[in-house]
Amino acid sequence: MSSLPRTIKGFLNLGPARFMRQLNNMGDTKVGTLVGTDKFGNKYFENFNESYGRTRWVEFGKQDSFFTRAEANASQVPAEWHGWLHRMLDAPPTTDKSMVTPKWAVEFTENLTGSPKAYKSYNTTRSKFHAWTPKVAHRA
Amino acid sequence: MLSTLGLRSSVLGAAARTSLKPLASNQIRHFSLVSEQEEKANVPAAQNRKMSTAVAKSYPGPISQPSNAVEYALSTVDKIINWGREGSIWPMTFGLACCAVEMMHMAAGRYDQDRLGIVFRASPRQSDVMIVAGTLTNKMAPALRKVYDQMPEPRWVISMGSCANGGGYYHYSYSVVRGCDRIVPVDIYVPGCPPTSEALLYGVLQLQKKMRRSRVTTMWYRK
Repeated sequence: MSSLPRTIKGFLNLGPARFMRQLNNMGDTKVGTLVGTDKFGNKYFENFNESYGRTRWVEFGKQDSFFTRAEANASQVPAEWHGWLHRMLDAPPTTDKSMVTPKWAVEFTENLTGSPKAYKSYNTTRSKFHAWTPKVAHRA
Repeated sequence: MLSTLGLRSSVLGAAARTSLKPLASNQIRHFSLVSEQEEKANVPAAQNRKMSTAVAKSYPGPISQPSNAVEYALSTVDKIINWGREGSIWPMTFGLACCAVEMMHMAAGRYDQDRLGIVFRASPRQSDVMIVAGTLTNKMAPALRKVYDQMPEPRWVISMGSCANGGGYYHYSYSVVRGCDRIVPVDIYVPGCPPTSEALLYGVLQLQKKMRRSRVTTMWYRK
């Protein structure tokens, strides 16, 4: 948890830029060893001196500052690193190859909901009911 | 609203069937943040990265750059409006079933919705988001609509769980509404039965993202 000595220590270790970024994104200053980086530029850290359940964390490659909002997103973590973050894997996926990505798997994307690239379902079968325009019978 | 984009919308389905591939432009029209002109231009997403306007940064799709000084100013005003809206979401709780328990968990210590400025408000007159959590029965439907009508604009609806999304387990029941989007326009659908409180919080974050994209004053000026 955050405290004043910890925050000062974090400032000295992280430098001003990362310090501000961490405070903005995590609300805490965390110092750890860099375990790996994925192809999206997300950096994964580990520090066993943190309290239990907070020892592994990610710093997102995309900025999420006051000027660029909603860039970082939890769904940007790819599957194998998600496994490491959530303790399905002991070792990072760079060494632990137990999570096999089949070669037919589609490329990982973040959640694209709300963007033009969002998945939109469509139907190729004939619909079961149709709209009709009522016709008024001619009355004498 | 998003319900016009719903999966069961037959009109869009028919349009998609003719081309077999849905157009991206169909999906973004209802956000009221892309004018038809921009839609036709359909700037690729890669070009957007250069833009420096306040709202455009949070949106990966085509939003044209402000063309004059007034629009620059108004896009900043938009950003302030969005900041205010997303920072104090007061949801009207509409807890109907077991989903409501997960909604309470979102409020409680672990996920702590208050850090996002979310405070449950029991009165529809002072709330701006309605979380429909649980099975909406035929008997409850008029009450739901009445509560929704009492909420002031702008208002958003989060549909939480399978039952609220589309009837869910009770889809074939004689007394259950097959999705609360038949009664109110829904912005965010949270899947699950029930969704975890984490999932609901993610839905709230998605709603914040949606709020962030709105361009109230800019669109008013352009019209």
